[in-house]
Amino acid sequence: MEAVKKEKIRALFTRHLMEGHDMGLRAVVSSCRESGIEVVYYPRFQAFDEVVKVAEEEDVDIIGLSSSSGAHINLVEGLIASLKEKGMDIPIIIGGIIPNKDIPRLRKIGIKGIFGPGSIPGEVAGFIRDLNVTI
Amino acid sequence: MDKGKDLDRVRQMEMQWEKNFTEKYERKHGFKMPESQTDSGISLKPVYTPSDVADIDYGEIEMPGSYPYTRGLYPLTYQYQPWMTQQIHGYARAEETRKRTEKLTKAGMKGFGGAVLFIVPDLAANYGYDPDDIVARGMVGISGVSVSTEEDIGIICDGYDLSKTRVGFSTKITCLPMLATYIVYAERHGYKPHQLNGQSQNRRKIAWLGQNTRDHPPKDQLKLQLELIKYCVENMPRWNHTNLCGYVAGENCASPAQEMAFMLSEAIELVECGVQTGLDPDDIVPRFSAQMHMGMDFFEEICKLRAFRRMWAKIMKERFDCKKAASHQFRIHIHTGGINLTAQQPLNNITRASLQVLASVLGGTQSLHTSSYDEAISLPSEDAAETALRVNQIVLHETGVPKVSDPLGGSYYVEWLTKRLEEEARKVVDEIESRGGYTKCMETGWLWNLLDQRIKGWRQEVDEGTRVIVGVNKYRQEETVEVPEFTMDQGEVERLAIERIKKWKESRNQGEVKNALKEIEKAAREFESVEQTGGLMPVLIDAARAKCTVGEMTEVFFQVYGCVFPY
Repeated sequence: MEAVKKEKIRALFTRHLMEGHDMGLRAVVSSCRESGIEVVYYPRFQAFDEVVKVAEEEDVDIIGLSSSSGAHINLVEGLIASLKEKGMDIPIIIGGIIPNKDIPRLRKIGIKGIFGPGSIPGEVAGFIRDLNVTI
Repeated sequence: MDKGKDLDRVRQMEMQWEKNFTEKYERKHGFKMPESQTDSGISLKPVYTPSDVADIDYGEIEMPGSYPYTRGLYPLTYQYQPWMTQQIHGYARAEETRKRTEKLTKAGMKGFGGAVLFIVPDLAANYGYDPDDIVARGMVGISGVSVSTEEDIGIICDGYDLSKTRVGFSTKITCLPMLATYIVYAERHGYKPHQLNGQSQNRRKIAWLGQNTRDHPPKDQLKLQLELIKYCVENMPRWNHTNLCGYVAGENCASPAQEMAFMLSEAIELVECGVQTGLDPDDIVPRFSAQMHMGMDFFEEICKLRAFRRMWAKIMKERFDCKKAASHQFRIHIHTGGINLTAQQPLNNITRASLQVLASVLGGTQSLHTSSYDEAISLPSEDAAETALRVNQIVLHETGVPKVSDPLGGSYYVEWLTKRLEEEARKVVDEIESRGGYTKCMETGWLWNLLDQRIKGWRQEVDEGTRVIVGVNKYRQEETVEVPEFTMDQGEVERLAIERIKKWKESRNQGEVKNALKEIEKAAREFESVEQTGGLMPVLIDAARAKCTVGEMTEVFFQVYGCVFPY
């Protein structure tokens, strides 16, 4: 079957309330918007249920999490568990301070894209569009 | 000395230089001098001469130890006493953090004479949640130490002489409850508040803005800042009540001039409001402390420290009529830039930190926190934290730099740039004032927009390559360098922290706890304007005596004042 490319991609970007840095996230949000992705920007969440609710209501194709605190594994696992509870399966990407040692584990959990320090915001938009081809 | 004749001679020298420049570079090589400017946007010439400093009154520069302290606060700088190496640290639970303190102390971390316990609470505590709060799941022991009660503080501080040890908790929204808890801990060990030595951060507004996180509306934040100031001025004369934080601004891409202006504007507002609470500026001002950012624009950063001391002295003397020398003398603590660190080729960060420490020392800082080389990759490992300390020791003992006070004083360039930076910072201070002051500019989002533009500009410059970051957008290499990694069993740390706080909560007289929290609520509701300052700290201290936790006390403030976000 030929891959069907959706007209408009919708991406939700967010971070936990306790993540102190959002410069990178904001840059990614701007860059994705400029490249034509419909971005739902949810500046912060306290509980994963909030993210799941927004993702469902806004019918997003992908969720982007930002973490610089060192809590990335917990955040990803928590979000996936909450999505599963609702029977939802939305690809997740993560950016921020992600140590190399954690990349294999994140991949195993099923994280589609990992954007560590030094990534260029534009890479994220490109990745999302490429991913969309295979969705 | 005939100044006119000297300047004639200087003009001749300058003309000769122009001629040489034109002949050698423009005519011969077709080279056109590129325009260059500092990080604050000050245009630079390729060389500076006596005519650039001809209009500077020597009274503006003076000797080290003399007003306006451009060249340093004291007649001697490091010849008498090295700068403090105050490495902020903390992770997991109090036990692990105590071990890190001991290790750093053994490696040479120290204040002026005594030990330094400069502690950063974990994410949960930082944002006002106890470890057993549902919002704190997965966040306990990360990026700091889990600390919510007197018991946690005890594990960190037991055995230290609190009258000789500098104790500081890097708190934002929990600043007042944490201080109350520390006071009660000290009280149980026989110390009166006036004996305690250390600092509160009390700089919540910039942390709120810079980290885009939760707090009360800025006007309520301001009231709480003043409550802490008044309590400290009246009861804790050795305690630095407010840490003016340029660091967070710098981490959000503020230029050096903007950073200076943010700090000065906040200080001006706090002193003005402090007067409304019945305090004398001379009682408030000497106990401001600072955490300034140290970026990579070497000379501008050095001049920032020199210009800041001068501006501070003038404002406190001329505007607030402060009489005490201590009010004119601004003591600087530097935190080397986290924003400058790269995950690529991480060992390069040691070089960056070395240059930043050197600039801090050339600028005459009193104290330094040096960032670890692995901070763009993970939380600092022991190896990286120790190396950060060693950078200071190498500059202190091996370079010879500390032998002379303000070694760059008198440089045409440095004196000129110090003056220009003062002018740039002054413009921003005036603009903030004309827009209603620091708190007002937080409320209206003007400061947010200012930083947001800088952040976007920084991003664009990095993406386009006009701002070079070695290893990121130039000299990039694909193979990765492995560095020792920080590891921690977070799940286990969280489990133990929850177990401990549950026990703490069970051990209390529940009626007393309830009443104490009600008293906080009552005092917070009655605290409507800055003139009413003074009623909150006493009830917070009572609440800490009743074993209320930092999270519980903080939650009361959110119920009363509400919760807002900058963006």
